Amino acid sequence: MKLGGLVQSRQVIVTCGAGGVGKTTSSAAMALAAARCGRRALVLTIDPARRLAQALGIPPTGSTPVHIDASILGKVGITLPPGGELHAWMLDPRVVLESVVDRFAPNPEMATKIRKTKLYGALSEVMAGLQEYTAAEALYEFVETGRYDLIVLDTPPSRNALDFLDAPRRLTRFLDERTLSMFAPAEQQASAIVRAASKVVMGALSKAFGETFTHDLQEFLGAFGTLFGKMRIHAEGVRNLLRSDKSVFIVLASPELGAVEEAMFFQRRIAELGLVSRGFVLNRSYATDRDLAKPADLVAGAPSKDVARALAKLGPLATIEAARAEEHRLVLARLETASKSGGGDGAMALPYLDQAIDDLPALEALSTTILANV
Amino acid sequence: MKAANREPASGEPTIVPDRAATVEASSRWISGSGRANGGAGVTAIWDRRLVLVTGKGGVGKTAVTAALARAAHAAGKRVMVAEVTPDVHTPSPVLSLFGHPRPKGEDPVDIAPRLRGVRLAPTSGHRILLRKALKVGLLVDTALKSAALTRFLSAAPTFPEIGILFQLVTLLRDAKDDHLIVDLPATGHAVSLVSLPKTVVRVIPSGLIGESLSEVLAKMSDPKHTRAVVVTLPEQLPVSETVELVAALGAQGLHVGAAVLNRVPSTPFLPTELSALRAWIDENNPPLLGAKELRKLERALQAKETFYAQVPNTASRSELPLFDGLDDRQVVERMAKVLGEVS
Repeated sequence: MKLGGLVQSRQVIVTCGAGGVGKTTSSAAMALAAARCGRRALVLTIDPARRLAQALGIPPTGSTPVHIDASILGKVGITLPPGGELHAWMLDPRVVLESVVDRFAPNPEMATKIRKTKLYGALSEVMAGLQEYTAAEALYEFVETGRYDLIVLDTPPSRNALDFLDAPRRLTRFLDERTLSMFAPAEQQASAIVRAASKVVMGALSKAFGETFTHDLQEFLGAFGTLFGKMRIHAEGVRNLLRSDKSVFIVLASPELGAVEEAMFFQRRIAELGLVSRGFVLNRSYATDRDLAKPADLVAGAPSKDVARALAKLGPLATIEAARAEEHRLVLARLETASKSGGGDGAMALPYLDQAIDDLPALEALSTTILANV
Repeated sequence: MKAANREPASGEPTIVPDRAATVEASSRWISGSGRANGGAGVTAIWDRRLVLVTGKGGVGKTAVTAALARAAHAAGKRVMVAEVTPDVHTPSPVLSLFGHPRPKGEDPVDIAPRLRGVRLAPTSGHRILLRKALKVGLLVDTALKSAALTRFLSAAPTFPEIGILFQLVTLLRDAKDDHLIVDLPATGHAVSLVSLPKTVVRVIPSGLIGESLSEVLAKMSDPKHTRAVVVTLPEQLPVSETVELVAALGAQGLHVGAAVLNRVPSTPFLPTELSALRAWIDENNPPLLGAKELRKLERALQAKETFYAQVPNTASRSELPLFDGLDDRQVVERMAKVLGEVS
């Protein structure tokens, strides 16, 4: 897989993978790589990574993406070519929801009315489930504005990432008019059959939720209903965008136990959603290590007894490291085969970075590796 | 931690513990005073009915959940181990560790006498909910066949979570287990799930859901009933996120009873040797095999310091060693032994 080529040519890169594989940092590195090619790149993260935000000098939440200052990148010796920009945003579901209401409501009065319903208040407070919807909507919105040449979308870890991939489809289903009409106030319902069916559903809901809530729900859907048509168009839009060749899905894996299975799981899920995962990135790997000296061979040249003793004790760790490098190469080969048999382009390795204690140098090094992969 | 040097677990599965060990272990758990580093020991968890396990993705919370269940079971407790899943048709990470990777259906599976496993899924919760709301089985099936209703339940934000919590409260009410040990989703989603009842109860005060979620809320925020366990790794970022997670869960009224530092490596180096080697490497930058593993070790030791310095000692803090070269189920066995000893 040629990740360097992808960051230069695609409009959307969606990264997914299990928790702890380094998705956020790799996603930021992909955006940085694109910016270093003169593109305007945005990294959109759903899982707030505070330290990355800190390193990039952006607030962990905010209402708009932040343009990463040249002076910050300058600290690690990066100068972007003309046109190259790096932006980052930690997605804030509330902000996206607000903007949906503002843009879609037919008039400001209606927007106010929607905001005043009890359920809207609750919806904007409850984070559960909302992140996935708003991520899809935010992606659509940013693509629509044409403000960025590349958007790298960093999905939440593990199972929740799949919720995101599924969100546009679920949203479309939810927004299906037939579903909604069940909940519409009775006088708006056309046919007797729909009214009868609605009565059964509302009866069940009343028992489950109590009368007040059922009333609140009708009120909310009544007010929100005017927005659904437009939201649905967007949901379809996201689906089409993710299916088109403007977008690619990249699955990140780490070399730990079970990584291949985990990565395959994502590849399969992406396929189930009617999409293709372009390839695997094996992150933090030793796969590219070659020709390192064994600690025992350096003992003779040690400047002190402490260093000599420490080098002697390093032996077992060196053995582990060598075995891991070998294992990582095997994992990489398996991922390569798995990707190709699933219609993808294969796999590539990103190195384990010794200096990863500080995120900026790590970003620089990773983006360099990505750009070399063309 | 001494346990890393213990005899490996014998070949036979330790599902049925021997009686003497059981008595010894359970008395330890009841009277255990915990480690010197503060807190009331993992014991604090064992007299709680509901144990919720969470942590950043990839820290091994699933294995720790399984190990806690194993340890409690080995101590003679009646245990239900549970996991939250969006879809019962996918393989089960927790139950795989007990040899049931693909449990059929939604009902609890018997793993061993006094040990059961179950999956908490939105659809299962919705079905239980509808069964209670409609009473008549035929109506439940008809309602679930209604495309409109199932779409609504699966697509409306928070409804999947309500389903999960509904199933949870039903288990707490009906099941006879001493402990319900739940593998929650990772950090952010766990906080969402835990904070959900408060908001929902305000919006839906009455009806089956309102009443059930009020019950969940009351149970979760009662430290006599519920404890959370957070799992983390000896790395800087996971540790600092754990400090935030403990605070975030506390703010939702969920008391964190224990913090577990997982995969702690042992060091062969004396501090003087380590600093000399580090200085020499930094100065000469040799192409040294083992340098990366050394760096990981140094970071782990640093992160361990941070763990004890920053995770509040209102939670019992304990460590699990790094088990290299064992498969997942063997790791769980070893973890369970260590967790039994800690108390």
